[in-house]
Amino acid sequence: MVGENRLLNLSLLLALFFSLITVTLLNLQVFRTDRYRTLSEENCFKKEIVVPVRGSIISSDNAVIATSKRYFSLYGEVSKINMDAGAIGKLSELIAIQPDSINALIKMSRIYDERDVLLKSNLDIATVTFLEENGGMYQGLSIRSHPRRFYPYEYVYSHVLGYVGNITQTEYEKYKQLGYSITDFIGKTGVERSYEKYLKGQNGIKYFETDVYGRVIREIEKKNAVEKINGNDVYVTLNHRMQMYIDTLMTENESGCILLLDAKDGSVISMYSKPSFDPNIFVYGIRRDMWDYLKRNPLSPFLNRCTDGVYPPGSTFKILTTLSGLNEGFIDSQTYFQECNGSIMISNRIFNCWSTHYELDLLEAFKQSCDVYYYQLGMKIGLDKLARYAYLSGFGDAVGIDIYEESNGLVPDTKYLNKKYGRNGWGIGQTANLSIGQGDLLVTPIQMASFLLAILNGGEKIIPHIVDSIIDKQNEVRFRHKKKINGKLVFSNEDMAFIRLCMTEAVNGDKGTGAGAKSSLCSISGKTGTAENSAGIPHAWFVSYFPSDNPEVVCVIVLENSGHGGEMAAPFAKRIAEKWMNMK
Amino acid sequence: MNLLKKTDKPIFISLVLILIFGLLMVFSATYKQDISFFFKQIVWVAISIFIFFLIQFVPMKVFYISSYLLYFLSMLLLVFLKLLNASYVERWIDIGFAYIQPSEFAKLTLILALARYLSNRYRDVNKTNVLFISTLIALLPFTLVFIQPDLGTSLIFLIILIIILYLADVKVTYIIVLMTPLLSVVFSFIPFVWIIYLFVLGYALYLGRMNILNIIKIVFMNIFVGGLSPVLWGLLKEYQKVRILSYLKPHKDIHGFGWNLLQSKIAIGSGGFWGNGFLKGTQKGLDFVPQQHTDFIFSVIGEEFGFFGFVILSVLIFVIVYRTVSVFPLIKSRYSKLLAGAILTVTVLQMLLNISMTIGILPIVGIPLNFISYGGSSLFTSVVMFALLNKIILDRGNYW
Repeated sequence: MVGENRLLNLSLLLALFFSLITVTLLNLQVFRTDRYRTLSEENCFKKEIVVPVRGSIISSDNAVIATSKRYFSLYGEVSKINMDAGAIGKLSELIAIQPDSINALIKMSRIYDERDVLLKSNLDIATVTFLEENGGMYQGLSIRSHPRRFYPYEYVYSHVLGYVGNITQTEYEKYKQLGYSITDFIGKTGVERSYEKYLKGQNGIKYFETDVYGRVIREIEKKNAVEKINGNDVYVTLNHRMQMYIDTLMTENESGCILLLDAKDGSVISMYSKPSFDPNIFVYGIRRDMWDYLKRNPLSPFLNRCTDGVYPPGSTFKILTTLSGLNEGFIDSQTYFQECNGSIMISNRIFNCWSTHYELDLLEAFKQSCDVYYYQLGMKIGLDKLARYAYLSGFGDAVGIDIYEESNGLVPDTKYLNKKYGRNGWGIGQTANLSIGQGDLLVTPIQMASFLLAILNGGEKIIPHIVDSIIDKQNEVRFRHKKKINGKLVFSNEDMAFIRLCMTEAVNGDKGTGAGAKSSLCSISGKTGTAENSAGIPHAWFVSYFPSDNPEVVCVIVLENSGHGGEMAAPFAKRIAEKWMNMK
Repeated sequence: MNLLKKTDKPIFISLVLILIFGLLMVFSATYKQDISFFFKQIVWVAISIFIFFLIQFVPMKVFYISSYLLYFLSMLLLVFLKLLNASYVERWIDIGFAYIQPSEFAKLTLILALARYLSNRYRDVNKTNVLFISTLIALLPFTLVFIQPDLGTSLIFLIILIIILYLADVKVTYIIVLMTPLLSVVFSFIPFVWIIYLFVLGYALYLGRMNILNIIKIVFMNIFVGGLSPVLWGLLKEYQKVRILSYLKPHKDIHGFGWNLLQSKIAIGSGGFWGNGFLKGTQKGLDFVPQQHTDFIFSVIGEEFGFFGFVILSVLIFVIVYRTVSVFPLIKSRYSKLLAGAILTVTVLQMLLNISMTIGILPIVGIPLNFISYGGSSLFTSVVMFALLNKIILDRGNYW
């Protein structure tokens, strides 16, 4: 009886069981120990991201146009809160929260055993001051501040500077190597986006010892802790006074844009687009309904019209048509075409002029913006050649300004039109339309401004820029803009001098369409444009530079659906030029 | 030094080393929260060692004679505990200066009672009546503890039954047949499968040339147990149901019961081969691993002494197993033999079960790690069992 073998068998079974445990333990403690060690560290240390102060953005006339402001929040330390009903009542009045809600907040935090409770975020300064002076009444309450983006001029710079918002999952994946955290804010558009790496600074990392519930016990020294580095200040070329002036100019207009470039180096003096939005609304997380409203608004408030808005250029394109014709040798200043009787028949189709000009030479045709003259000139040049000149002059492609929101525009050539309308689906009329800046042609205001800039600079296609320099907190220059040139215009200096004369005449000469811009303070050169579009009332264009003899500023104005360029847009140029002269 | 002559050196030295190891672990797991755990455990170790020596002076025959009485007393305690019911935890009885856990004592008394019952009937162990009564002897404490509810300990009673029947030379097929009601427990939750199972069982027994009456008995037992189990499942506390179910998806509910296991694995895994060093564990303090001083004490060993700590513990246990197995054939008394075999197997098995629960091989059902976990009753019972083992090995040549 009581077989010895049986105890041996049982021992063998135990040995088997023992082996299974040994293998599992080896796996846990030897082969996968690193993984568990990491988990173990995460269990008892809390990593906290210390957000750096984002760099400010400063205009050329030293106005701080984007900065970081301290936002104040009221916290209570749950275990120390000790307020009677009276104190709670006072507090509730102060922070505009029902006493019941305050009690409920505190109670919930007690139930969940939290250390702190957030009673109110975004306190105003008066409340902060009051609470700090009367701290004794409210035991256990504390005010904490944290830097958040603040745009003092709200909607005025929202397109050119852009805005910051909560980092998205995709952005986080891209930026996490740079130490970004999922709670970070990141530049979404404009300068905020394109100079993100300078503005952001470096997130700091602090480690805290925590208990099992993740509550902080104390800060600890750890070798992978990182000091935060505040962001660098970005100095932009924008002129604050001019931008504000343009804002007042645009009060009556619902939508449009005004772009001012320095005529010497292409730095952006003003970039104003309307309608706009207040970028501050993204700082505390935008409300869903507000976002939907902004997104669905048919006037697209997020669109930076100066760089991203595409328009038919209308008669302003005659600058290019003229230069092309001169360059090809089809015309000179003495060339007369068939006279303007208000319309002209081209291959069995009647093309209208906006007025009846009779017989004109080139200068007069430009000055009075005679369509009939330009139809005939365009037919001589031909569609593809004209399109080619447009490409060479920077149309149909982004100019490469230092923000990302930029459109290519569209220059239709035979290839494009064949694709769009079919090989026989379009006719000679496309050429006529292109020569006066209508049809499928689309340009951005910045392309037009850059084109003008090149004409003023001997054909050098200077790339416009917004940021001049970036200076860190130790006053060291981290970035300074260097003039960038993207090739040269193909036109001769004589032709470009002639077109400048044309533009000066268009404003200052008899019967010039740009007469509305004529100023006694400053001589302005410009070209009007009245861009027909599907929306009905045409867009009013005025492209100009001033002073005429020694240009300082290139000014491009587009007023959407406002009517004639000469009537509507040109007077704006005059007022801007006068403001400019006054400011000097 | 007279006392030491009363000990079998390999077993006693190993036991003492394990106890010291256990004390260190309890200290490490609790000293930050409450040093009194450690002092209480020291008192229990002292009491247990005292009893250890006391037992060496009591003739084996006394245990044999009082086997049933002790069994009966411990059953009374369990019933008393159930009736008491006033205490907020139903596993412990407050005896003034300490809490005692009657189910721990019942492990020992069940072994004593079964050893006595089977050693008396060694020629008849394969008879149905003997098997039936043995089963009933085990089912009584099983049921009483199960309804406490304490799933882990109640399962130990079934394990004791199986081990002791096997050691008593019961045919393996009979043991398997005895276990068929366990399958009924599982199948009874799917009535259709259960009915098919009952028919297959009956037919298989018929093919095995069992007599009809016995087949009816066994099938009836299956129906009885199977019919009862959904009722008993209903009696289970919600947390026990969750525990059993949480084994299936431990990572899903990170702060539920799977949390215990995950935290325990983190602690053990982070220990690596050599461990973080004594008192250098970061995951403890009853916080990260709940019940770390009791059922999860192995996570402290794993974190602070690493795989090496497990090896040390294993070597100590191995010494005891090796000693017992090698002396086993020399034991003359059948009663002592059953006792020694059962004590050794059950103790080691329980340790292995506990460890495998802390590393996720088995579902967590609440079994302490003998000798090491905090808790007087468990420690006391385990030491007393080894005191008996020690005595049997010393007296191996004697009939009593």
